[in-house]
Amino acid sequence: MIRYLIVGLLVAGWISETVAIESNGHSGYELAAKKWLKDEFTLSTLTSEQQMKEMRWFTSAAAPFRGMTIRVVSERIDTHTYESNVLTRAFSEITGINVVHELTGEDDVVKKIQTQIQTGVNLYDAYINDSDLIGYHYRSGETVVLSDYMVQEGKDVTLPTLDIDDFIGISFTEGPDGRLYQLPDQQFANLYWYRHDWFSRPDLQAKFKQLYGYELGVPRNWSAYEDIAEFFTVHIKEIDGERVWGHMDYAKTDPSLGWRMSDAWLSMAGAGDKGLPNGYPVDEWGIRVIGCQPVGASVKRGGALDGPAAVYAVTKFTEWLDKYAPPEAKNLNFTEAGTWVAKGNIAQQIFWYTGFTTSLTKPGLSVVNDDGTPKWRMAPSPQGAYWEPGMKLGYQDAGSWTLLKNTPAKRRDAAWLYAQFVVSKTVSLKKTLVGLTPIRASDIESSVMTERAPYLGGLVEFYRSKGRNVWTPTGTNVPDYARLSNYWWQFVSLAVEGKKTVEAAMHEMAEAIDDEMKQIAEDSDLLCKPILNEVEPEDVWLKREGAPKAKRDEQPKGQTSSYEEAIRAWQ
Amino acid sequence: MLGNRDRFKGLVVLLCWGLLAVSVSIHAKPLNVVTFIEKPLIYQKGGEPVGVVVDVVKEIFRQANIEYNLRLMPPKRALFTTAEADGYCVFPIERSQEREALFKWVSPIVISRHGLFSAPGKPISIKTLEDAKPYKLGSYLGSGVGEYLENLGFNVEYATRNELSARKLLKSRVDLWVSDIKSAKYLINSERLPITEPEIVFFTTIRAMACNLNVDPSIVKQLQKTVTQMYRNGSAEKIYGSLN
Repeated sequence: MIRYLIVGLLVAGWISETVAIESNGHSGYELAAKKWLKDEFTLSTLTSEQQMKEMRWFTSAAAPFRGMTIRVVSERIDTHTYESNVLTRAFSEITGINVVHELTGEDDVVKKIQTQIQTGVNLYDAYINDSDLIGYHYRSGETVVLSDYMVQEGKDVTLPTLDIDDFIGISFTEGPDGRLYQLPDQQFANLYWYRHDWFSRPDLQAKFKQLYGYELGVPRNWSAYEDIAEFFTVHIKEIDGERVWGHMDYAKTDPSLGWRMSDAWLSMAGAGDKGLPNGYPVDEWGIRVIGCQPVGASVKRGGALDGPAAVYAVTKFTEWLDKYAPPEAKNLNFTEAGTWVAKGNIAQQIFWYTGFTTSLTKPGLSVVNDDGTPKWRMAPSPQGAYWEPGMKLGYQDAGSWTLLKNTPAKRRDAAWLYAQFVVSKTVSLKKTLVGLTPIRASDIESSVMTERAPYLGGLVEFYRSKGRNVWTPTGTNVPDYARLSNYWWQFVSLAVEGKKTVEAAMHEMAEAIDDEMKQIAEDSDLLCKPILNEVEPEDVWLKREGAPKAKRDEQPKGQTSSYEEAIRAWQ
Repeated sequence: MLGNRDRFKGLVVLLCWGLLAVSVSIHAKPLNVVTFIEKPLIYQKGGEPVGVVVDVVKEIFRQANIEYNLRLMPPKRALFTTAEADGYCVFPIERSQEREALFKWVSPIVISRHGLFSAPGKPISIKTLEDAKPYKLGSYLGSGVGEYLENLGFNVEYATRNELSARKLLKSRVDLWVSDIKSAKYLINSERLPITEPEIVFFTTIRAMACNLNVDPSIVKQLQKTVTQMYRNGSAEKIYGSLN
């Protein structure tokens, strides 16, 4: 019913926007495919003949949908810009289906998918939505279960050469029921980033050893990271006449501040339990589950969101921001900070989104050598004092195609064709080279990527290692990401802005998330809905095995590795 | 890039003298709700705002049992007033990540799709939004979509109201007019403008009621709950249906 609500405001627009397809016979689409293969998709793990066969399938499968204009939305990163500007055009010419691929902030994507679910209004025909929402997708019953769809109603529009097993992040998009809810479109990880050229300088190495008593190298723990941050910001100050900084981050009061925390700080600190892809029973958000039912985020209910490890994480975040980052960092958001290290005055960043790799490899940048190789490297992020072997090592985003059940079937089917086109083997290697957010094992293992590896600072080495399996997205303990993710930036910003102590902000956030989970249970029909634990004294929980963990020595001696040793950890 | 928030604050300083009269205490009632003319969604009759979106908002307040005063302001001023004055809310503005932390939100009030319109006799073929990069685009002050395009590096020129951009298009002062397609169609029909279909409908926005950060959270929560219920039970649909 509700989908008719705003249709009155929209339908005229939809009709008028439907671009008339010129008289384009089957051979016209084939010619278009040939042109795109010759001009754009020149690098592929498929042979030219296999590519052409794949494109012919798209042309044929698209026949019932020609002339339609479908709408999809994704966040704003290089990969999606390529899709929006180039791949929509290719898809349209090869299939006759027009696509408006909108780019917007990640929080907007979350809000839009939430709005379509809540109201039933068909805002978009498909979403590229982080697999962080998997906990909601499998609980809500609102999302098309792709593994069912592909063999049932979507059988005729499912690419025979899709090769699901080739997607490296497919496990992130499966529910606890083993069914596939989303299809990865792009992936990027949070890795340590540093100036390999500076770290290799004998004068800086000697000075660091003199001051701190160990080698300047890739930090293995937060103490070493802190020492290196202090070393560059306080002791070195200038390199080649330029002010340099030992740390970079972002902290603008903005939704992206929340992801900074929920993506990685708590898990790197060691707040959750052991287990892959996420800690169990307490995950990296600090939410405890019994079976699949969330039972609390606060320590008093068995969670770890306001435990010593979480407080340690946010304390270090704010402290390092104040002491060692450039003053601008506090006013930057995810997008603005992403390419900041390309300016050439940052020594290291505890975790940096590899989705910005393309921006750091451009010739002429001060962080790129004359031969095109980078002056920087990426390596495993250092672990906090509460981290233990067996826990996830870092965060990986898996922006993934998501279809909603309340999208009209024909529009959903047409959108599914576009989704498969942009991840097809014909397209994916070129897309990987443009955006450097690989999704297919076949692309990663290709000779093309071997040739590119020296220019990508460790990206290929990471994705060819087992490391790619232990850098994981937010897991299924989070029952409703859209409703809960707001709390992160709203409460952490209070600590960043000095309005509350870290302890107070985290306690209040844990309390608020508990309350919201209780509310979610009361006003939704989710499967495995939250049932909160009764309150117990915090000490009781802190004395038990696993998360939440009691306070421990947070300043062990700093430890570093050589780059070669560090990346061996991925093997 | 210069953040929206910085530009926003700079302009707020310029306008602060105009805001002296709207100083309201945090807990004052009724809530001051402001809106702006955007035909056919919102227009003026007898000095009062009317239209389907106004009807929906009135129904939200009625069902939520919250007192309010409603009045019209120019869009940019309505936005600044709400950002700076306690006890104020404004609708319908585009909700976006850039604006998220500046307000408390009640959404959706209405969903809009936005298009690019070319001038008669001067069609500009737009297959993807990127094709519009070389051109001068006309939007209006306070438009979230205008800000969106500007942040993506587009050349955006602002007028004080949407219809003025349409006129600028006809006088070749901008190459493409950026508008909510429903508003554009209404303007084209009512003012008999020789503008045809949009070259592309490029963006969808959730338009919301934004409230000052000091508005009582329980009021915002109650309004949000009511909006969601209205969408679910069809009462919002019934009102929007009257538009046709």
